[in-house]
Amino acid sequence: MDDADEPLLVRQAQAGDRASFAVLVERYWERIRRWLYGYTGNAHLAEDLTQETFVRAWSAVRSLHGLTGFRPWLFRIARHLAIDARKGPRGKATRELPVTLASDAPEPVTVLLETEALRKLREACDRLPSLNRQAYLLWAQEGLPYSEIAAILDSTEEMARWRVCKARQALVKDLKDYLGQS
Amino acid sequence: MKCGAVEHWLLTERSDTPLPMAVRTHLAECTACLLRRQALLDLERLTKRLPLPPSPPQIKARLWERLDRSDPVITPAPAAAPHRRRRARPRHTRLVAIATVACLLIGVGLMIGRLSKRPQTPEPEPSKAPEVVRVVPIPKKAVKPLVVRLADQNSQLAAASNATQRLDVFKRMAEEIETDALAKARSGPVDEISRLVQLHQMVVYSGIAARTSELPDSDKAVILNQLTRSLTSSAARIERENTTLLPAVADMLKPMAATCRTLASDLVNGKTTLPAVSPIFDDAALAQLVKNSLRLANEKDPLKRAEVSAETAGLLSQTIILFSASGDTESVDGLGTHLSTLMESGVGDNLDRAASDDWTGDRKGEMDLVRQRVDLARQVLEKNLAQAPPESAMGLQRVLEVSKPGWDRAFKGGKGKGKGPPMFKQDFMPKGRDKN
Repeated sequence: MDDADEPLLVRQAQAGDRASFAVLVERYWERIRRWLYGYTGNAHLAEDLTQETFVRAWSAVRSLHGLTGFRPWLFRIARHLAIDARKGPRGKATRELPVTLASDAPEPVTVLLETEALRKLREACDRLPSLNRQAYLLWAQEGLPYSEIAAILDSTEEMARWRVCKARQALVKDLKDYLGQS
Repeated sequence: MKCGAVEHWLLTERSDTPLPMAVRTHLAECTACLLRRQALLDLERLTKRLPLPPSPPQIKARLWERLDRSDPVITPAPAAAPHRRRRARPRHTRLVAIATVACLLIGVGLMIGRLSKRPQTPEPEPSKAPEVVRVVPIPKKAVKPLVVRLADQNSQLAAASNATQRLDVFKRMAEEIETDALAKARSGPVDEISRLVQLHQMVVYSGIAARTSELPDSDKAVILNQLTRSLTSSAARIERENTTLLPAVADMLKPMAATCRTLASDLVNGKTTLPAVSPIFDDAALAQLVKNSLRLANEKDPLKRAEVSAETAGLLSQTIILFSASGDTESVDGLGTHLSTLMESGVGDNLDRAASDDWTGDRKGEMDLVRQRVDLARQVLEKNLAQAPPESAMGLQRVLEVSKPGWDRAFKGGKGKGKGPPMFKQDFMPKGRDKN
């Protein structure tokens, strides 16, 4: 993924160029949706919120100034929308059925173990305190630096580091039977 | 380098970060840390593979439909732009558009009618129709009240497992107080500054300075060096800010900068005697929270730590009720989360430790008292929830839900087998090998 052209794309989007904004949408759609899914635990809600995030981003892209990068700004919009959604009646996070249902075909043991580990990991993530979960997913899945995580969570870099650290501690503890085997 | 420091490094760095020499040397000798590293690598790999349910393509298509309808401020893109497919709009879209225009016309008509009925006042006639700007503002989060931020630090202190972590918490606590004092110096109310300066002094001397003597020898020099730099930069920040303030307000902040400079210079000179800090006779939640944090950090007995945490839980319950009455839902939610963490780490974990140390069962009565105290804090919330107006009740209900795991953990604390330190204690230790 080439991020070097991002400032240019943002400037063009600010000037009203929808093609540039479309590139940004393509670049971030899945990332925002994945993070929102991890945060809310609800795939449909994550889809709706992803769409809403980009609608808001398009409407407000002119208010984005050089001080904040596009990526943390976009994730912040997504986060605020998710917070609002969780306050509403559909806010209760409910984990849905697993995406891949077990088939009848025999699977190798390693695949079964991996599937089980992923299921346990998802459950363990759901048990994390909300802010620790948000920080951890931004760090581990999205590969964001602590400075950006801090900007997204309205927090300090030190606090972001602490949250990721606590989340990893808790997850390792929860998944001890599945980790360190390889 | 000891296991604790290696563990901390491993927990905060990514797997692709090159290992420093000290960590590499340690890993070559310590199987337990090597296993921890492997576990963290596996965790990172697994997290990246967490499945994401597929999204129907029409979701993204709907985004472009919505953008088509709702962006009069932005000039349309060239026809070649991807996703912008010019096609005949469906019938219902056209109907919606017609209805919207009709509503707008009716609205404009009503407005004109109303204006014409007003008494004639000379008003400049707009030269052109006002531009419709559909910019949706991003909700701007207000700064959380200091008591919420300090409650967050307090819950982290309860979960801290070593002196370095406790020192970090007090550093952040001092910074939070300093930031709040500077904000009040800039925009008021200034009469609270003196109290904040006093609390800051208490945190710096009784919290930060007192922790320096507990630091492990291996990391002490590095941590003290960082601390000195951070204190000096805090002092410089306050002094810089002071040049822009009214002299009377600047005078109020000067002791805060002086406190930072004094400790920084003591650390450089290796001075260990701490200046006496006058006790604060203040019952406000803020002062109580700081005092309880200091008590928690100074207390070695797990049962006493559980007791202090239970006391803080009562304080937070009261504060939550006050915030919920004022309609500050964000603070209520934040405090609810911190309350839950405090219950789990401050009360539950410490009761477990106390129970595992109490071979004879002599302290069972004291443990019951702590549980009663916790129960009292919950009853306060429940009682207020029963009588609260709907707008406050929602927040209190949420707090009780969010903090439920914490309450459960606190009540179970000390009743089963002690858990021991929160992580890595036995689980990853190969048999017959000691932790460094």
